[in-house]
Amino acid sequence: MRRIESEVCVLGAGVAGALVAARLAEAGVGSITVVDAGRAADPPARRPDRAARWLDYMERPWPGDRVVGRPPPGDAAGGAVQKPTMYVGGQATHWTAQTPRFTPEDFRLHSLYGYGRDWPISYEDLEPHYDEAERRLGVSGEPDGGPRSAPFPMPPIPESMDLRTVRDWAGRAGIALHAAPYAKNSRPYDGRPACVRCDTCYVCPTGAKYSPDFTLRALAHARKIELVERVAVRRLEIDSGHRIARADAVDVKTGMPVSLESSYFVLATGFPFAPHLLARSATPDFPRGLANSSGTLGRFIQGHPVVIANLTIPDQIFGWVHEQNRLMTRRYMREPVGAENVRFDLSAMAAPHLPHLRNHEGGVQLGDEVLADWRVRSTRGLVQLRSLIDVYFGDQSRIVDDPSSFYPWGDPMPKTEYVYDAAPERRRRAGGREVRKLFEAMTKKAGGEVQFFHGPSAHPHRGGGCRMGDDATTSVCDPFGRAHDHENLFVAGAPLLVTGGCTNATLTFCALALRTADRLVAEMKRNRSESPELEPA
Amino acid sequence: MDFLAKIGRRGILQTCAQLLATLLWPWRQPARAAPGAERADDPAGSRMDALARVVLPTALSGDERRRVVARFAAWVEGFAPGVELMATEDTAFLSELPFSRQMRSAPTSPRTRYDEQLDALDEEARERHGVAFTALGSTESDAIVRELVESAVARLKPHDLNPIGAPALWLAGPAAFVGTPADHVAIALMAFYFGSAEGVGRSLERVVDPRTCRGFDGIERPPRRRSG
Repeated sequence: MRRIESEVCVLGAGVAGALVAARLAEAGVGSITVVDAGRAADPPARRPDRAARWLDYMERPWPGDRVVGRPPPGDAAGGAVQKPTMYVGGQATHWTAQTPRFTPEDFRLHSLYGYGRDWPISYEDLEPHYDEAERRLGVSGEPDGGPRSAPFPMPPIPESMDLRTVRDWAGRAGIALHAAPYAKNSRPYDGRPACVRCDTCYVCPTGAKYSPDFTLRALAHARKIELVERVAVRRLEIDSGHRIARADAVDVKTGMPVSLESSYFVLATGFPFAPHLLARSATPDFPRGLANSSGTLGRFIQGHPVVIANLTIPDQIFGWVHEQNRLMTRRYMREPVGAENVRFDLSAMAAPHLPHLRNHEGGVQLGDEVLADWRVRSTRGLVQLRSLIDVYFGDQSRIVDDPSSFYPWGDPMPKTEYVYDAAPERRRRAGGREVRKLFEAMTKKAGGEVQFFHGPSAHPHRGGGCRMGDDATTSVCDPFGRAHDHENLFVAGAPLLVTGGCTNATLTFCALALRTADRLVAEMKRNRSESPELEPA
Repeated sequence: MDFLAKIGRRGILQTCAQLLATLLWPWRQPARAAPGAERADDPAGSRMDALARVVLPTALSGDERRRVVARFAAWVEGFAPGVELMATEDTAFLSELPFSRQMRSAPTSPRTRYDEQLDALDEEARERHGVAFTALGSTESDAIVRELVESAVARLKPHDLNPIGAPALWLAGPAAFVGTPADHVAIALMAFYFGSAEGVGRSLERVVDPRTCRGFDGIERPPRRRSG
């Protein structure tokens, strides 16, 4: 059996794992292992070709980024699939990189609006870590009126004429939009170039968009971490004192067992994999899963339904100019609407008209007809609006074993069961109603027509399942991410969520991960000062 | 800087590769002419060119049309069967769509199908009018192609291509149709052209190339007008 020993073992090499590893390495932790079931993503030099093939042939620019031979698992509602990413860097190798913060209200929903649950930490507690996450990722943005201790690291990506048109149109409707923040360089930053508007952000061919594999490659190259690829953790084992003694893993290539032994474990496998692994690690002392004396492990999972609408507006939008970036407002995150106190974000982007094979009457078009129809439609701008609605899921929503999907090494994959019982369903419906009312009011006031309305459905930006709290009887982790039941186990990022918010959540995952890393560093320093014999030679 | 230099060269390299592929085509595949290539039994000219006359804008000159056909032939040549295709679980919004949940690989090259479809055009032309497709007048060839396209599009399901409803010639171009019920050379050629920088530019009468890294200079102004 292969044994890998380290002082800190970070399980999962996604964005949370990358940031935790970076923070630990900078603090001088001498021996850090980062383990991931995935393989290295294509080196950056390969990405321009991947982007070109994607455009020309619809080829997936991240081939193999899933469990071999397995379709991505779905959920009970048939909604958005959860991606078992199999690349070092995780899902944020191919994210949109939109990085808004949660608002102060997100942390106090129950106190303010009587639904959901208050977090054990405030926005102010997390704010320094938001700031640090923005600096580490390299975020471009413009002030949005929200509280922040430092300006964005970079000014926003230059605004296209099309986005200016959208901003003006929304302004006529009484909605002030600002540039959505993105982890994309608006100027050279952190050794990476400025964005040059390839409009293939899903696979950024230049490196202007942040990807966690950049951080991990640099750390591994500098020998600050040992990056162990293609090793999947199957189970955590505890000792008699309930400390995590080791992680039992498997070499994905060979099927041989691997034992990961460490003083501290950071579970950064994200949602839903972290709570699922803990549940799979049940022992006689913890029959419902490790870290689960509260019985809340794998429950209170969160996400937010999405509403999307395409509108035509009277102003001309050329399209194809730069349709990757969005404008947004946080107004309705901070000022709920309607009797249900519905909260949602609102983002807008300019969209191109597409050439159609059929005309309005349903007849087939060829050549000049396609062109003429396309030109007529293009005289009116096309705008896509999107809102994410705040819905709080209770303990009936949970993570379970998927009886029909298995990893190649035999373990069941996780399955998420989101249950829209009375409360979340009421909020989902009310949210859809209010958002639709807003979109229609905007078109009435500023001109335009709703062409296509979709949702509210699905729930992207998922998290929870290891929620944090002060009370060990109602939460899995403490407010810093340490498992109540296991003093050397920390959970980083998405699984810690208490509520799901109503905006893209990755920056919040990152801030939580950095807060967890800070606590771990502080504890390791304290232990060393109390036990000088632990100081490295 | 090296990175950026590579990006800057990307478009040029792609064009060179496509031209090279076009030039090499007849020698690389001697047994079967590619769609768009001259054939011994096709003395009146390329059937692809005849098809292009029907499905591409008439404003294109003969040379422009033949260049589109040559680039399309290079695209067919570059098709890679078996390669993993984009699946829309990759983005949260698109994963909502029912067609997105399957893992997909590129099917067999459309090359043979396109050839057979060109043969079918010829057969139809001979059956109806007693001459090859390439010898038909514009009214007759338009009618035949229109019927074929209508038949292919009618088999498309609402979510085969995009969520807006009307089947769109996506920016993804002909690849969006390969393996769908509308996998037809006439549609593919249209998708290829209207998804190209030239096609998009012609629709807007502006220079808007969505397939290159374009920088931000002048982005605050409307794109410049297209000449010609």
